[in-house]
Amino acid sequence: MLTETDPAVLARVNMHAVLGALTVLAERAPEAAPLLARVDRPTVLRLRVPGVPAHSLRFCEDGVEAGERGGERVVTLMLRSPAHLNAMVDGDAQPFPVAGLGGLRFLTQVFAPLADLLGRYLKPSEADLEDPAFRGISALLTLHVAIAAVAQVANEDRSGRLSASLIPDGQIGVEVGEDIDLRLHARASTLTFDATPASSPARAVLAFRDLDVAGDVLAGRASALSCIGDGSMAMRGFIPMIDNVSRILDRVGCYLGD
Amino acid sequence: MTTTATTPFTYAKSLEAFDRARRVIPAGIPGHQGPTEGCYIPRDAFPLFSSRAEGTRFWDLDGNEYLDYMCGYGPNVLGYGDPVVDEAARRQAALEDVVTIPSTVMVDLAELLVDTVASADWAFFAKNGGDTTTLAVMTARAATMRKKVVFVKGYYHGVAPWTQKLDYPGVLEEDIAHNLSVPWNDLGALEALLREHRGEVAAFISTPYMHGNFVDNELPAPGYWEGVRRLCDEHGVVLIMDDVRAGWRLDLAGSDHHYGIEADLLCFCKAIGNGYNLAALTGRESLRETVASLTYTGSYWMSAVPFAASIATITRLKELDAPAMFRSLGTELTSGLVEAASGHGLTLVASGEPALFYLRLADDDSLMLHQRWVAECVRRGVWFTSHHNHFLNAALTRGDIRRTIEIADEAFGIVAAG
Repeated sequence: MLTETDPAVLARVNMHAVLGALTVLAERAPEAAPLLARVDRPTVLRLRVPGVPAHSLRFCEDGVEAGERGGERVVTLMLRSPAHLNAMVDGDAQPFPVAGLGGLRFLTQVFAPLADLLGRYLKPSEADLEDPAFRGISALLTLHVAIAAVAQVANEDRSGRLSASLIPDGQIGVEVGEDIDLRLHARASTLTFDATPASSPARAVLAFRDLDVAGDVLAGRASALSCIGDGSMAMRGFIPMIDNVSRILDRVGCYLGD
Repeated sequence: MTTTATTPFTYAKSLEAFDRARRVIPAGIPGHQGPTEGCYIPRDAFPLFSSRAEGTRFWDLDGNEYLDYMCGYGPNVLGYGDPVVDEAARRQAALEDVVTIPSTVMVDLAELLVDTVASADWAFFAKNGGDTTTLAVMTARAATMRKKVVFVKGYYHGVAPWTQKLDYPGVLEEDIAHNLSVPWNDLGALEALLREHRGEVAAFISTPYMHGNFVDNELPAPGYWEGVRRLCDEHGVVLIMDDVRAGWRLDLAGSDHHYGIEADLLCFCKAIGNGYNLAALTGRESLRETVASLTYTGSYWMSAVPFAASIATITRLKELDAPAMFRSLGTELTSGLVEAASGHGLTLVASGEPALFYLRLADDDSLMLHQRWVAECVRRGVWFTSHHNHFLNAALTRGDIRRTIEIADEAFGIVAAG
C-alpha cells in the first residue's frame, strides 16, 4: 500500500479517464446535445503537459471522440506541469490556451460547460441522485472513468504496475446488468481500456447487478466485498485477473477519491 | 457410468444467517472461508454456514450433507469428531486447559514431535500457521543478523504484513522491503539471487511443493530440494519449510524428510491436532538458543487440551500409516475423476500430491467450465472448492470415493451438455 500518489499518474487519469468520459457524456447525457450544437466546425482540443504524452479530443456536433482525424480547428491547452493539469480539472487553475477567436469561443461556450456538466454527473448532488435517469447516467460515467483509470494506473503507477504484472493475457469483462460489457485487455502486463462492444468472451468477469450497484461501489458509497457477499456483485473466470484489477481499482480510489 | 440424478441443494437458512452475519461482522464471513476470496464461484452454488460435522462429512444449516474434500482447509485429518482424539481432549479438559503455568502435556507433545519429525531437535508451540512462519523468519533474522528473505513466486505463508505485497491494503512498503523472490523449481535463479545479495539473505522460505491456487500444483524437480539445501548451506541462509498445509499428510517425519532433505525450521499447523487449535515450529539444534531469545508468546499458546489432542492425533496417524493411506485413496479418487471427465469429452487435470490433490478442467483457460463443474458437484453433495488444493482425511472410505465419482460424473454430464 503506497500512501502517496504520483501527480503524473493523476494527470494521465484526468486526461484519459475523466476528460475521456466526455465521449460518453456526449452520447448519454441529454444536456450535452444543445452544448455540442454550438460547435460550428469540428474542433480538436489538444492537451499538452510536460512529461505526459499529449492527448487530443475531437468535438463535432454529433459527439466527442478521442484523437484527431485531420483538418479540424485546433485548440491547444498548455499546462505547466501534471499538477497544473490536475488543478485545472479540479477547477482550481486555468490553462494557457493557444487558439484563435473561434477556438476561444469553443472553449467558453462548448468545452467549459461540457466539463461542468461532466463534473455534475461525476460528483452528483443528493437531489440529482433522486432522479433515476440522472443516477443511471452518473453511474455509467463513473464506471467508464473508473475502468479507463484502471488502465492508466495499471500502466503508470508503481503499485498498479505490480498488480498488472500478475495479470495474465486476456480480456477482463466488467459487466453491468445484461447490457453493459466493458473490456480491459491485458497483454504483457499492460492494460488497455476498450469501450467498444465486446466481440469475444472475456477470460474473467466482474459483474455488477445494475448501474445503481456499480455507481455505489465505484463512488465508495458501498463496499465491493459486501456486494459480493450479498450477490449484487459477482466474479467468474480466472479470478487472479479480477483480484488484481480490484487492487488497481483500490489504487484508482487513491487518485480519484475525495 | 450409470448414476441416479440428484436434486440440487438450496440454501435458504444459510442466506438468512449470512444476512445476520453481515450486520455484525465485516464482510459477513471474512477471509478464506467466506464468499469473497474466490473459492466459492458462483456464490449461490455454495452454502455459507455448517451446522454439524462427523467423519468425512458435514451438514449445512439447511440439512444438506456433503462429502468434504476441504477438511476445514486441512485440520480434519482423521475425520471430524474422531473418537480417540476427542476422548483424549475430554480427559485433558477434565484436568485443566488454560492455567497460569503450563501442563507437562506440552512437554509430552514436544518429545513426540522430536521423536517423530526427522529434522526436529525442539518444538515451539503457537496457534496458527502464520504464527510459526513469522517466528521462523524472526528466528532466521536473529540467527544471521541479516534482513532479506527469499520467497518462491506465488507463495502463501499467512497474512502477517511481511507475507503480503505492495498492493495490499494496510501493508506498508517497509513491511515488505526485504522480500525477494525466485520462480519455483529454479535453482539457477536462487543461486544467482543469493550471489547478488551475498551476506544479506537470512532465510529461504517455501512450501514443500508449489501448491498455489489457480494453477496446476508442481512437485519438486529431481534434485531441487537437495540443491536448495546446498545453496542455503553455502550462503549461510536458514532453510524454512512451511509445512502448514502439507504437514502430516505426506510424511509423518516431515515433508522435508519426504523430499530427502532436512530443513532448518519446519512450520506445522492444520492437521497437527485434528481440529484442536495448535501450531508448532520445530527446528535444528543450532537454532535452539536463538528461538529461546525471542519475545514471542500468546494468551492461549500453552493451552493443554490441544496438546493432548495432538498427541492422540499423531499417534493415530502413525497407527494408520496415514500418508500411505492418503496416497492410495487420493490416487484412486483422482484417477476416477479424470476418467469420469474423459467419458464426457472433458479433460480434468489432477496435480500435486494425491493427499492434497488440485483439480482443473483444462478445456477452457478462463476456468469458467471448471467453476460450473465444481458448483454442480457442491449442489449435489460433494464439497470441492473452485480454486484450492483439496485435503483427504482418514475417515474417507472407498464407498465415499465411489459416491464422489458418481456425483462428479453427473456434474460433468451437466457442464458437457452446455
